[in-house]
Amino acid sequence: MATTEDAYPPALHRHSPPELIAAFAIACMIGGLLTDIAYWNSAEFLWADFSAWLVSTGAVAAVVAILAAIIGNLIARPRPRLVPPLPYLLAGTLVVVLAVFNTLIHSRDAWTSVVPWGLTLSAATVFVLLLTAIWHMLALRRADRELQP
Amino acid sequence: MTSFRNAFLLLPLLALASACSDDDFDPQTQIGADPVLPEQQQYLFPPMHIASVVGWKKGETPAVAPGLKIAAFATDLQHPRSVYVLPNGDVLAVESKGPGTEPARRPKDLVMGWIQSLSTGGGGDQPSNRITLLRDADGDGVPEVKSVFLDHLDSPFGVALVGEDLYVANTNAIMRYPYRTGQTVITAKPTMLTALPGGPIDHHWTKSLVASPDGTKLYVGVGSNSNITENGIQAEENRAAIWEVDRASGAWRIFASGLRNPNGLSIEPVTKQLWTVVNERDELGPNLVPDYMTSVRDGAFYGWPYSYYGQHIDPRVMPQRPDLVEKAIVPDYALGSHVAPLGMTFYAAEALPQKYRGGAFVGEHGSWNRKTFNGYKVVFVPFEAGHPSGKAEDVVTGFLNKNDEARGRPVGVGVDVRGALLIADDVGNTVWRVTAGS
Repeated sequence: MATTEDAYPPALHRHSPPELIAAFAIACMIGGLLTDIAYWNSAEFLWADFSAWLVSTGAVAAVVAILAAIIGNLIARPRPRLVPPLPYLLAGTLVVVLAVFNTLIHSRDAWTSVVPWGLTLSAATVFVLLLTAIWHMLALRRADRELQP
Repeated sequence: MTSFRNAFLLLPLLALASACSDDDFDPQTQIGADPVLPEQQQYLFPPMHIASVVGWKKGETPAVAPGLKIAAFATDLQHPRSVYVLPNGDVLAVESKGPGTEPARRPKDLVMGWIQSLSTGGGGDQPSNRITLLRDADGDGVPEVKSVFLDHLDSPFGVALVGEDLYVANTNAIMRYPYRTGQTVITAKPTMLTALPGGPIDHHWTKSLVASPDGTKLYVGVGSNSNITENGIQAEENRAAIWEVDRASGAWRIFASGLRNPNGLSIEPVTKQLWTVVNERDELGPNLVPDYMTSVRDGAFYGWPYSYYGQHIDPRVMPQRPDLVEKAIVPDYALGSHVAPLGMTFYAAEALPQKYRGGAFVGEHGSWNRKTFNGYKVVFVPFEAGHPSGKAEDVVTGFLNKNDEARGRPVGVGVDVRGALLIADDVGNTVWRVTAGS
């Protein structure tokens, strides 16, 4: 693998601030899905409170990450990329839309803040994140093959 | 505030959330024994429309129905929430503020608290939580004596005098004070009769109080600890109920339950039955759920949180309780959605025009959970032989000005010894007095 790393320009080994914020948002969204499931199973209000915080924090972080990425691309020299950015932008936008709606649903009181629509949106958000991650892995692998046939 | 509110309404999501206009629904269809109950509607964000506070300018008063006139009885009070008239004619104005013990547990609590602070700010941080005595011995509508009757109370609301025992319902306990006719200050230490559910949280904190006709019992309104169990059903233990407290021993039992936030507890003069006004749940739509007034039956369950107006189930409560929903009874008389009735008094005097005799005055604090304001007035519900006998009519209006800003908001109501109607106005920091005349 050392030879692979050497094949990439140094900028690709660093994580940009938007990526770090996005990682935080993703952790919140996955956590929100788990607490949604816990509330669905237990009807214990504390889980719904946890969900509300995780989902809202995730949405805010996702918005910040997207804005940071856009601003970064506008003002900074474009970084070399291994995979095309457009699918990320589309997936990111979809996640932000889902997360914002989910935050609003989670602002309801008691059961219907989660079941059925909060839980559904949390699951849909995580599903989109998962698809994006799989696509990212496959795209990286393709890039690897192109660099080292 | 207006610009903020407009900006808020511009948010497409909010516009979507409140797209269902409440303008094409006639609120009059929700007044009386058989209110129209539309489909439930749950929001992406609940409409929050709270009148920003401008207060009363010098000389301004609310408007009254024909045959009545109104004047300020006392001004410069600190958040007066209820009035109580002692047998010698002295008027007690209960100045009270919420305990502020409800934590912001969810992001929603932070956002709503912030919006509310924008619109109702300027309430002042003067000392409140006291009872001010007002004495108008010559009956000219101007008190000659104004004295701090009781101070350093704990979010007081209800007051009841039985013989020489004066009971004050703080948010967390009923306190008993010795009272002799003519006293303008009570310095004696109180005795606690019964502890009431206060904090933690203490979402609905006003404890309304009335004595039974024979004076042996006290009835206390204990509001719920949430809108609709979002703080957990555990937090609702012994709440959303009217308690019956034995005056001699302080022992209590739940007299009636399922009453989300009962206030204005009063004894109907003909039937001697206990009546209450109740604030129903929010965030099910601009026209749900109508607040109501009802006679209170011993042992009855009125639905909260599981259902409303009988068997209309609230989907936000889990687990559901079909066994309780089955026995939930329909309240007697709907007052309209989100009008927020916080005070009620029956009119047994004779000074006001004939049509008011025997009926009930209701103080409607006013809505926040719908675009078009509802309430913000005092209405009169006519009674015949001890039962509601017609549509509620406006008696005191004009608490909102033409720009829909709040000059005041009515809360508790009472009748003084000369038969005038008294209204506590917590936002206008005034007690109003309504008499016959023009």
